[in-house]
Amino acid sequence: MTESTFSTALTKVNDSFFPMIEKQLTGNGIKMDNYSKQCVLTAISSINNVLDSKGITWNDADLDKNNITQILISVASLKLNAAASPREVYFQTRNVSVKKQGTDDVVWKKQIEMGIEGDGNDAILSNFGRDVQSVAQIWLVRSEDAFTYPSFRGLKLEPPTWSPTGKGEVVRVVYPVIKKNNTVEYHISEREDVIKNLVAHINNNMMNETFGIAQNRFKATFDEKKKIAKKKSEVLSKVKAVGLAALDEEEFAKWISPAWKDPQSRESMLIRKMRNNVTKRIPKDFGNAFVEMNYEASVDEGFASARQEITDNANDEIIDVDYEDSTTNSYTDQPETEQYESQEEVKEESQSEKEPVKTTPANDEPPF
Amino acid sequence: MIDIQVLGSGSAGNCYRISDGSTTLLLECGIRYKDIQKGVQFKMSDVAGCLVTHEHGDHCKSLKDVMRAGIDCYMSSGTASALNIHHHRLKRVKNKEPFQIGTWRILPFDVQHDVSEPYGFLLANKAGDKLLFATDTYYIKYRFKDLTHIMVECNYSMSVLNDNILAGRTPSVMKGRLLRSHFSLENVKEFFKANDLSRLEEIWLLHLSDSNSNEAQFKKEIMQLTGKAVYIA
Repeated sequence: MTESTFSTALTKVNDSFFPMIEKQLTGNGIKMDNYSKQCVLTAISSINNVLDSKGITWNDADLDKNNITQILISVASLKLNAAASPREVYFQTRNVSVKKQGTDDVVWKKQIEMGIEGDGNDAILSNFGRDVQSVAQIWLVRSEDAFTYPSFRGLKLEPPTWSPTGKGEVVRVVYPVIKKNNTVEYHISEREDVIKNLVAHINNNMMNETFGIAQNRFKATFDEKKKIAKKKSEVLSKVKAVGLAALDEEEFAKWISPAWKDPQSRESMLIRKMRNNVTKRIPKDFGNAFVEMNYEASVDEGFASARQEITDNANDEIIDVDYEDSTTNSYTDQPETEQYESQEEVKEESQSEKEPVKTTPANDEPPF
Repeated sequence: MIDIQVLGSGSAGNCYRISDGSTTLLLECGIRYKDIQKGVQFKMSDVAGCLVTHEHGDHCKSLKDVMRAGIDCYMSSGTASALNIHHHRLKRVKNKEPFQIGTWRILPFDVQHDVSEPYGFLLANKAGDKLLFATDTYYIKYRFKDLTHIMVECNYSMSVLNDNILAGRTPSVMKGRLLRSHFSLENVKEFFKANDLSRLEEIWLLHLSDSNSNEAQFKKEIMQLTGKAVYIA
């Protein structure tokens, strides 16, 4: 690809995507400022590099352009800069199977996947954190560093102390967050707390696991489902008991993604999770539900996995029933007056209206 | 011709009366028995059966009273076990195994909700009408042919929910549960797009959340998408 055709192609891409994104953002009450525009430009350029390296063109019929539009909207609304150093956001390709609307035909498409780097979450925290003025350089505290936790003398905060040695693995992350009233808050996340993320990750990856009890989770009977749930619960209890050492246990390997397990990426994954555990729990004020939704979609693993499950399984198999003039499987009875079989008689409890049918407390759905 | 009457819809209680002119059924019995009686003009003996989707109280509150009135109640084994009720009027039906009540042939199918064994029901009658009843599910695995009536949950909209979470009106933990238990407007729309609606006469949107829905918006968006008559239960 020559320099001139590259820039021309990229300009065309910008020209086709920009109006769409601006229209969507404006329609959701978001003004696209200059920095958002710059974020979109750098994202398009980064995506172009990824596509180029895979030999995919923007006009490729196999490329899912809707997904690119959605990514660029997220980038613009969350103000994530793909050209920042360290990176705030990265892009990669993946193959996805897409069902042709109204048919059972499956076609494979190339999709661009966006991931927010640790520094992207820091940028979101700086831009949207409630009452946050800025986020100072974070501390990656290693096992051999000297560190003291923050403490209080009455209302006065004694800040944490840290003397880096550069030795050992990262055991905690400290975020000094400068608030708008010029106070400094220190948010700390521990390595051992990442076990919660690992348990959630394994739980997500076990979604379709049946342990050989049933052909698949949709064909499992009620009793089989109970057995599967029990097995899953046992696995997760074991993982919790073992802690992060579970990453090296063969027993759990099939439910753990390579990014968690592989030696070259494990440490950065654990650090990223520690950082996310801090940045996610600091309240954000996006000031716009659309931006909030994009944020959720980008960083919330639960949201992402629920979306993935729905995309993979919804509206998939055709089922049908037709009226038949037969009594096969007929349950038809003549309505009759009250009549109990003695051993099956229901206790005539007078239930208050607020009481659930079942005596267990879990039987009522919370109102919302 | 199917007549649909809403006796209750939402987390306070769900109950619907459907009739094809020959056989009358109740879908759910999650409201006070007195209100069910009123809803059917005290003609409980006209009701040929009651279909129960799952064990939550807002779907089966009056189950014992309904069975006591001599009405067979149909549900999955999982739901029956979770309710821990034994009665000769309680009929356990199996996933994707059709059964018949009067002029209705009914196919139970599995749905996705955070309970033991929830079902949706596809009902075909002698007159050639086909009704889909699906509530309390965050998506439907299946597509359907020749539907004439759809009664489907449309519990919340992601944008309304996000607004409420931002404003502190809805706790953020609610979102995680909703994502994997109830049908959102966005996913309901995908469901309609995936199905053949050529014979469809009516759409009933059920179980709207009190706080995370917008009746007018839901009705407008589904009407625009489908071009069909949309009613809010």
